[in-house]
Amino acid sequence: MKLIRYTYPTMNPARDFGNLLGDFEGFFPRFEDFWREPAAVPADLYEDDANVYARFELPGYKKDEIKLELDDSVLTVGVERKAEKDGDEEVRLSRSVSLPDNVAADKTAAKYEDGVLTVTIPKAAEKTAKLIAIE
Amino acid sequence: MIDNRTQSVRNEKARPHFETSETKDAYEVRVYMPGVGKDGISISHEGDELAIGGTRKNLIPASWRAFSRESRDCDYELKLALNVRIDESKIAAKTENGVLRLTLPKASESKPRQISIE
Repeated sequence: MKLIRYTYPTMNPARDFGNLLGDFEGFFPRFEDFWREPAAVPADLYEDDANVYARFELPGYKKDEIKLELDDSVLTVGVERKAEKDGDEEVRLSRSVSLPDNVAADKTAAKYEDGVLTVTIPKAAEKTAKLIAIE
Repeated sequence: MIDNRTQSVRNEKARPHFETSETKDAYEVRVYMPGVGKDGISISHEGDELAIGGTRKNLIPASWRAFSRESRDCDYELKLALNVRIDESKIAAKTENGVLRLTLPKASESKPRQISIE
């Protein structure tokens, strides 16, 4: 049996539909503008040869208001802001993404810059099948 | 025609989320532009239009391959038509963690005037 790795869709179906309507742009309102509203924390997943990267757009928070948790290859970002003075809005957000299986979770590093949180998770060394000689 | 299309894709700009509020002396605009640092922001005010541009700094390295994407790479552009008079010379801007905070002081003639009765 051949195992084929699942490739996550890289395109946003709403955006494709928007492109379809591209010729009529200006006549119809942009479809993706409606569609994108509910995703409070946009998340991206990338990889290169050494690492898996997760990026979250979280503008306007302080570093200590953001919490990261990695549990069994599910990466969760939580934001909690308490209202300090009257008129402040209390914020509680959370977003989870599933990581591929072959990651070394204990070596995760994260960086928050200009409202973008980038998490770097190194890939674990591939388990190579061990050849057993028959005597 | 094909040229036109590619051009429009490359020059595509996203309209950032923004919020406005008002105090006694000023209007405040907060523009949410994740990925834009201090150097990537341009602000211009001409006539009744306030134009804010944001260029992303931390673009994705070419060696990264995407599994799934929800964010966009395009830069930001926001044009606001002002229907209030502001003091252009005192516009203040500050950016922190991807949020631009603009303070637009009210022009003195647009503040309520107290008229005393003699």
